Amino acid sequence: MTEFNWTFAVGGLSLSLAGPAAWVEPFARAWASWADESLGWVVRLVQDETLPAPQKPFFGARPRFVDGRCLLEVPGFAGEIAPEDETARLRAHPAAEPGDLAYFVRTAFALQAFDADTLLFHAAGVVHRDAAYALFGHSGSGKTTASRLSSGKPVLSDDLVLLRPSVSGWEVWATPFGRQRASQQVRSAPLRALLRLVQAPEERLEPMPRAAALGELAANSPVINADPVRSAALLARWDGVLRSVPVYFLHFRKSNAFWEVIDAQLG
Amino acid sequence: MPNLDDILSVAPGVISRESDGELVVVLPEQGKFVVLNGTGAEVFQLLDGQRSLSEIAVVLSERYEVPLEQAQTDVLALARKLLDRGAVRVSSE
Repeated sequence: MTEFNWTFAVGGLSLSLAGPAAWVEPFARAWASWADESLGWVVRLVQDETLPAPQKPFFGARPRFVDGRCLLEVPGFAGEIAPEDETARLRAHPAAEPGDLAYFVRTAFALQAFDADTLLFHAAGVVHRDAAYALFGHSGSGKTTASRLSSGKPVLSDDLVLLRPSVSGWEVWATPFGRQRASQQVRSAPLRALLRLVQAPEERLEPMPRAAALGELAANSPVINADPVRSAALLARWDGVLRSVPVYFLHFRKSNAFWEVIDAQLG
Repeated sequence: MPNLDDILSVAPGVISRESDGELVVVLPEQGKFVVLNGTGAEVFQLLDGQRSLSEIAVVLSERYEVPLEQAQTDVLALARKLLDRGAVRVSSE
């Protein structure tokens, strides 16, 4: 079986994929604009026919933390991420789908990002007037819809963005993990505000209480919020973000008029 | 359903952080959270696996000068909410 290695980088964090060409090459094609040559974490993908055929998508596997390692195990998949070694290994039945493999890569990246003092955040990132707005909320709250309604504005991701600290504050970085293709021209922008999406009959911004925001932001931090060891640091990191940028409920209809409200209040 | 003789403690892995006078309690296993206001936060911090709910109600009753019966009702309601969410567990009865 032909082995293939390919490296990509998000927000300066590199991750190398190693495994059968049939599994790694699709990543290299789909995420070609993220290719990189730096040394970073290594994710090894291994086909294992002795595992039972997958019954459900790997996405349903909850991370479990044991002795500093993150385990993701459901029938057809046995994943282990070792942050201390900066490696991850997924044994998967040959019938695994590309989405299953991407889920494991994303999980490893979430840990890599957190241990590098950044945050992988379940949010859409949209750039408006050279600043990024992170739109978050529960599944179905409208992240993809709001991204699509933001015509003409660079979309960093419609699902997962990377928050990275810089000397001038927090930055939002694009990732390849969303459903909608991220902007190729704009890959990052300074974070202007966090906006909790609420579908409503009118557009308006409403300040969000910080404690509620802290809880929701932690809940929207994939993988890390399941790790008892990292959870306290996760809250502290989000608390730091909330001290530097405002957070609002963004009530919005299915139109792009919400940007006028944002301009009026935050512009 | 908790009763006043129960002794509750924070469930393993649950973490909390104070923010603007409120307490955010995060349940890593579920990826969920609970926000508690001032009194709720105080009760949560008294759930140390040592004191019964009855003893905690006495503390609140004296601290806030409210009738003991009222404090007991409030403590039981919060305990029920926290047990339902998996944020605490019964240590002993």
